Amino acid sequence: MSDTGTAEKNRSQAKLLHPDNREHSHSVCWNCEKNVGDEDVCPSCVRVQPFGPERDYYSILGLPVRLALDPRLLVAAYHEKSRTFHPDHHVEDSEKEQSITLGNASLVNLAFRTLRDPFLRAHYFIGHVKGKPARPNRKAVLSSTALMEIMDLKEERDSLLSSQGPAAAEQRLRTVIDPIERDIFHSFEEIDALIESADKEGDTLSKALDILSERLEKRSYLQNLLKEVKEAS
Amino acid sequence: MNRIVVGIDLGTTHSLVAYRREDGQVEVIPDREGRLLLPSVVALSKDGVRVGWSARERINDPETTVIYAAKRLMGRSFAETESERRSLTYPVVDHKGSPAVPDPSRNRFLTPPEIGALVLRDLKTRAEEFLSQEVSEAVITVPAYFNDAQRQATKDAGAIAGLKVLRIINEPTAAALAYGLGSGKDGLFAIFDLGGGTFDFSLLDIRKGIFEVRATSGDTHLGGEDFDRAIVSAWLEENPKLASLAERSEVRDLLRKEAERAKIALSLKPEVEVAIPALGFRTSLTRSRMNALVEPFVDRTLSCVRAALSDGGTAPADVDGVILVGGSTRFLRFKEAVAAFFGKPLFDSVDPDLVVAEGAAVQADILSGRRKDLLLLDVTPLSLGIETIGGVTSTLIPRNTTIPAQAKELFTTYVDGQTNVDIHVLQGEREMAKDNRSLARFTLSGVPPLPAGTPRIEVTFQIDANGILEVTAREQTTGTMSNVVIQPSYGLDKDDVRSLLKEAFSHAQEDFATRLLVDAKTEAQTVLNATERALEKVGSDILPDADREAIRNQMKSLRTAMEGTDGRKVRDETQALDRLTQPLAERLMNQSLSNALSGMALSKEGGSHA
Repeated sequence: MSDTGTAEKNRSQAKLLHPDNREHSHSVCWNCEKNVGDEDVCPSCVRVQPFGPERDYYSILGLPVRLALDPRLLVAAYHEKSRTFHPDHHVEDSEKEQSITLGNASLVNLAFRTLRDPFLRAHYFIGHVKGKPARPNRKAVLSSTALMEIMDLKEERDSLLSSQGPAAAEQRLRTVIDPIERDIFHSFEEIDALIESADKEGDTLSKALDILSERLEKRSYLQNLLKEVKEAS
Repeated sequence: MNRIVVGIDLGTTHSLVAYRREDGQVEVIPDREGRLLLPSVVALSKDGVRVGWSARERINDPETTVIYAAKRLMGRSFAETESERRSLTYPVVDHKGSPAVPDPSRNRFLTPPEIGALVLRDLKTRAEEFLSQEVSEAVITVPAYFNDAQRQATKDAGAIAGLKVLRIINEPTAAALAYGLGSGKDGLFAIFDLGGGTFDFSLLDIRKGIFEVRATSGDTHLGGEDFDRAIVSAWLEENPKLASLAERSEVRDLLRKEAERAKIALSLKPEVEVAIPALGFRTSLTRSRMNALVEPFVDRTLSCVRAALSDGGTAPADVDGVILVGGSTRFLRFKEAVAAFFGKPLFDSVDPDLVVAEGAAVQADILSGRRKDLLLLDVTPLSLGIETIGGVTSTLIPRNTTIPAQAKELFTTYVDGQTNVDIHVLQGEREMAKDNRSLARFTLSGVPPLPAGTPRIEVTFQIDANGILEVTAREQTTGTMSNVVIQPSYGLDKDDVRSLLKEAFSHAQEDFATRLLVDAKTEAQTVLNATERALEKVGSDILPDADREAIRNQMKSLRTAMEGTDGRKVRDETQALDRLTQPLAERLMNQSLSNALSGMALSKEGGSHA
């Protein structure tokens, strides 16, 4: 009884989540058909509005598109959106509204999960600025020099592991990872400033993004090496 | 009448039910004898099925099957429960792949959800009697580390007991909700939950009424019962004669009870004497010896704690406080170990036995739409993914992801002209698909026959706020779609559950209706007797004939109603009679008749249902 009810409901909810299956345009309220713009809740009939396909993670959380984000601001924004959209605050609403809140709350969670981690955020940011959808687990492509460096480091790690144990191996990897992570963080403010300046299409920005991108990829390789050490110990 | 959603802690050893009162206070509902805990024990014998305290009394009765710790079997296949079965003293058989306890007196097998349902129904009845209204919705707690199948089985148990389970929530989270109530404390809290059979650990970020679960971990085989067993094992090692006696289950029970008693006593004094005259067994147990015996368990809990902290990206020093939950945290060694590990204040002011049920009642209140100030952001406890080439698991939603959650991933074919793609949905942390739990398999057919690697198949995972997973696969060029809502299998298939549901549903309504009828009839009879006596005593000077006639007629309708089975009708007719005699009672305040009527009114108070 109740089982089938849930199943049916879920089915319709999943459809709604596919951007191309959206039944309503984002600028008009699905319920009263008045203009809603980018509001989360229709100002006329107070119904929650589904996020349109054009909404990126920053706009979903109502945050400026920046690399450097104040974590407190981020959490506050996340909690505010959760209060608005979490299905638990809509248990008495119509099925339609519940399906909207499920989709929106899922996106709010995903946006927060992505933007909270500075490296995932940077990856997403690059894709967003370059106008390409970024997928976090996309396989990174590195220059052959960088790859060689990593291969050497891997061998060094393995010999350290067998001769001196995991702590030494981790320490060695850290001497490479830590400076890269510092460089990544340092570039955040610089890139934000470039974006805010008028020179959006400029070479400087494009170059800065490429460097950031390569550092991120290198870091993810190195993190895997580190992860293997942790798993081994 | 207000709709009340209750919170239930369905524990390995004890269960409780709580609700939030109109005044905002959360209250654990006692049974008729005033006891708050209900032993999660079911006794099957020729003369009937017992639940709770009376079931536990039968533990050594050879004619009775006494089922305890059934939560350990919940949502698991017969094969998965092998190690559990060895430590249980009641028979567990393979019933269609699920573990089940034979109930020969009633010619049936009881599966873990059915056993859980018996306990839940007892709590439901308790709540209904206490609240004088039907209770049909509940929030039930489970260990954070319960997998999908175990959660689903718990939900089914609720359904079989006639409860609509609005939400399954994690026990540590529930505990935090109970502590967070009104305290206004924000920060990062660790919840250390050590019960009779399970250990759970969670990290929660609490800010302005939002409870965000940062990480969870746990051990489904770690709890106070293990300590009892460790003590018994030590005794048996020291005493070979006892070991041969202990092959009998009642001797083992006796030893286990004594071990439990000694363990509890040691939280108050440094040494206890142990004596079981029937076995000629006498020894003493010191706190330091006891601590040495449980030290391996302390280490196991702390390694879970480290895992969760690392998942949550935090250090012990970041934690603002530690909430202790579960009866076994009364154990001093654990308090010491936790305090030393975190170096932060311990919260243990709420009775650790009650705190989970109280928290469940808070979440129940949120879900009944009465509270918008609190919100629980829960996580999915285990990673979810699908099997890809070479039997490798590709994770779509990592563990500890906040729910509701959605993830999409593109996959493709690996054989030229492949038109069907099998989607194998997995749960677990292991690299290889075969090491993880299989949740479902389904096929996406109608993929256009293209060279390998060309089709784009988008797989979407959607987990709702209840943790129910739906998987959709869609071929992007043609739009062909296929999906499945995961109904985890653990032995009971959907039809089994449905038929049990149907049975339970009719019984639940029957049970409530029967109680209502019995109570209403008792009340009606009292009112009838009092009215009859009154009518005999008064003359027409006080009571006009027309009024007497009206009262007589109403008495007749009430008697007719009493012959039927509709309790509500009996109650309504009783109230109608009450209204008719009311003016009479007022008129006769100073007369002998008023005594009889006030006597009636008094006797009515007790049985009142309104």
